[in-house]
Amino acid sequence: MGSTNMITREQALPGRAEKMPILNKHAVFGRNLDGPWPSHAKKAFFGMGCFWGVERLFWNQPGVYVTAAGYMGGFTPNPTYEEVCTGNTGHAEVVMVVYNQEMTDYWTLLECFWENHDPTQGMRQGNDMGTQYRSAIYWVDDMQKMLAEKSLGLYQPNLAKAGFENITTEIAKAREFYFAEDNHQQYLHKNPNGYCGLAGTCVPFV
Amino acid sequence: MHPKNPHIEGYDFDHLVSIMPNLEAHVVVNPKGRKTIDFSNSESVKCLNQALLKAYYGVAFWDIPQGCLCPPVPGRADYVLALNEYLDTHAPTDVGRRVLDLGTGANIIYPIIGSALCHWHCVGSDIDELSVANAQAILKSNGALSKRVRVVKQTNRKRYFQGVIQKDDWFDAVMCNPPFHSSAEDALQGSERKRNNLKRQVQKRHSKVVHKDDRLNFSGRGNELWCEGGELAFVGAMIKESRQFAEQVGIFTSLISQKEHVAPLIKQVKAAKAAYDIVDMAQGQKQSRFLVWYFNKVSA
Repeated sequence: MGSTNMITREQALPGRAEKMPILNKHAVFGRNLDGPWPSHAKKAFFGMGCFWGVERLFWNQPGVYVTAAGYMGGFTPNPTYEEVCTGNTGHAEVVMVVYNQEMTDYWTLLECFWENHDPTQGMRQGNDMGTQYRSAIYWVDDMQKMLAEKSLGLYQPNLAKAGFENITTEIAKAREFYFAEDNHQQYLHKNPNGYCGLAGTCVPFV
Repeated sequence: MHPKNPHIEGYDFDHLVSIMPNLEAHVVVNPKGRKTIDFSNSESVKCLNQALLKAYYGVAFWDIPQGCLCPPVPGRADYVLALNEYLDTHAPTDVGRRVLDLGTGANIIYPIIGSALCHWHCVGSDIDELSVANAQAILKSNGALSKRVRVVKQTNRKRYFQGVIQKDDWFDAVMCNPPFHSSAEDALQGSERKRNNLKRQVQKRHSKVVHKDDRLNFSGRGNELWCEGGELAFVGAMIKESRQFAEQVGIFTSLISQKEHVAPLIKQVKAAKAAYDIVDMAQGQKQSRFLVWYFNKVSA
């Protein structure tokens, strides 16, 4: 069980230089997890708690080209799941969503993000406790940054009206995305009855 | 094992440890070089179950108090799958099924498996306060599960369905894993036998885990293990009371652990003017079966 206190760079586990070996093939789509991708493809990164359910949520969205489960936002290079679970890497469980810009857009993904978890829970999500389960948006460019911040501003009053606290979502620049182990990739496709902790607030985005 | 049993190929410990790192401390290697756990260590078995339930059944927050029965998951899954298959054959439906698990225990394993694998909606009943409280706690921590499962306390220790099946309720099936033994001493002896068998196996193995736990991993609380008259009396009384609920239940079923009990129980089913069936199951060396009885015609 991870701690709900965010660690510092000095406290973080050392990690390793070797990248996590993964099968470069999406279990549902058959497409490359790690590129190369067609020119219409663009990356987005979301943390919404345990990444199993989150990944399935996004690969089921129209216009999503490929997804992957992984870690971002912390200090430890090339961490293992076990390390991330301790909370001592600083990473969040994050899903990389590669979307086809001709078929969908970032705003639509943000709507999906806000409506499918509770972004006010700080260092936990549902019953999953720890900094690795925090709500997070990691943007890849200024446009995503602007839209993310704008969407938060629009959603906060809706949540407040429904009695929720302030949004605690981390909105930051995307840094290196570390792929999770093969076992965790497209987990709920391989194990349809596995754990899914996804639960929204039932507060609509618009 | 049932062909759809998720554990038909055994436990993939690399996978399970990968999704629940806590399990790693419990993994040992057997003389054949295969990964396993010490099944006589209750903490190890509980941890294995937690990993299985998260990996395959959608339940990430499952715990049982010390001393409560910790069920072996594959065997439990077999009953669920065999029952669902029986229902598919004799009472096919497009609508989700409702199943009552009589004596669901602190572990609510049948509702967990039934809702995950067969999308059942379940009611689990139990006479034991502690079990009901723990079951409620499990539901509280697992949102998806709580949408499909309800736990009810049976306040009358001499009743099975009364007070649990409400006036307008319908259940496609009742399932039950009855208390096996007829006395506490009997239950203890049974546990001892199991423990000694396992200990003999464990002694041959290098075990990282030293434990002082005297009780067997799968052992349980009194109600879970024994009742007056044992299995025969329990199921007999269940058959008698089931008549009153004939219009509200599609089929009644119960595991029968002792083959010798089948014939006398069939007699009681006939005396209650119900039809019956026996469904055999096999789990490795173990042969088991459940008795089916029903008052309304089901398709052949």
